[in-house]
Amino acid sequence: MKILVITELRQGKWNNASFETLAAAQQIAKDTSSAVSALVIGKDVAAFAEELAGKNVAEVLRVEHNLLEAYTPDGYCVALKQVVENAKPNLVLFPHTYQVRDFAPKLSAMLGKGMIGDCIGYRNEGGKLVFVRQMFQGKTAADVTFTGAAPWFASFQSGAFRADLLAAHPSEKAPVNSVTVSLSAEQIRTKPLDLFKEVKSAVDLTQAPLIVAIGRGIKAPENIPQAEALAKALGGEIAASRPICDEGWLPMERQIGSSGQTVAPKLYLALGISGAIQHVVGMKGARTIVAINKDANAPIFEIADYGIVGDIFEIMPALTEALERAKSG
Amino acid sequence: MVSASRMSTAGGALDSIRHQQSTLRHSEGHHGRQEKEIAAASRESLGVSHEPTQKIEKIYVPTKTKKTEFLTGTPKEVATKLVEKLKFEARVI
Repeated sequence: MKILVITELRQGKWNNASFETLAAAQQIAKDTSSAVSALVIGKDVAAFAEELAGKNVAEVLRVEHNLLEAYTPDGYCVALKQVVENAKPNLVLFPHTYQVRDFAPKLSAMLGKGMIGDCIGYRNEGGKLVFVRQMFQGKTAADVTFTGAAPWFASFQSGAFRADLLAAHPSEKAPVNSVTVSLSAEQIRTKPLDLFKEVKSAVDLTQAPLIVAIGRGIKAPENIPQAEALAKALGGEIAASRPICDEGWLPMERQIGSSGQTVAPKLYLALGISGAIQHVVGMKGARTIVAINKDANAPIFEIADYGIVGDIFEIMPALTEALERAKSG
Repeated sequence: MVSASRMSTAGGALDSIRHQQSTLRHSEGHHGRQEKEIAAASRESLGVSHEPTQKIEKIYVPTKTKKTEFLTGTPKEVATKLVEKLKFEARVI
């Protein structure tokens, strides 16, 4: 089987979920004796292609075109359709990013194929790949298989696989092959304008490795500085569940959950968060989850690696102090 | 009102709902109006001739895979324990 991974760059930087998907592809390849190709698309992406070549992949496909400098769904779909038709992969994998949600269903439909999106895992059942995805905001899971002929399209949820487990190339580097695509300005029906952040201090929590999140347990906006001090001591970002942002105690961009951001940091410290499913779907991909809550039966403990049943107002300052001590020691 | 006996089976409940809808229509003056024909369209006539491309094999409630380790003690003790766990066990800080 041949697996093609479509990686993602935004504003000249990797989206880290690309490496998670590449790690997933390596794992599937190992289970099914398959070969992995990694694709990088854009303009002036030679350095990124070289970086990918250092990973354990059979080849890197470099798709460059002036019209691919800025992302457009039309440009990406027209280009990637040609690549998929020529390379003939059996399985095409994407990281389940906002950009992928925008173009990947269109691409698969252009090729008359279906897509299993937002998968959290897979199983190899006698050579047949079974993809696992969540339904009803994570309340249920579903095993989904492809029917019909390849290529099959699937995307993996952020945090479903660990980027740090991505294997390096065993010898030197994989070959980088440039792929020429035919693309004209008339085929692109939208014009991307300059990207902007809604507020100057806007933060991209999806890229934050350490997150301290607060919930209703924080009780009042006057108490938030305690959590911010803890986040500072940790070197992390502050985030919140929906009620806190609805109250306006923290800006909406810091909301985690089904109506906010989906994050997969190394560490997620949940303070006074009960663990409603709408919140959990946005953070359960975190590598290590710590929950501190006075209610021992709070559902957040079901997904936590470490749990502390107690008063966050007593534990927050103690933890801030312990972190400061650990840093200086 | 829906009687208890009519609620005893799903079919009974459905009949009851239909009955209520019918009653509502009558009360709003739709009685006697000619029913509009509902056009049926085949998948092929809509230009969707592809066979399904995926199949849901199973839907289930996910099982918990993580084992939560609870830390106990005074706030200062649990804070110290947690920092050690995060530093040397989880290695995330």
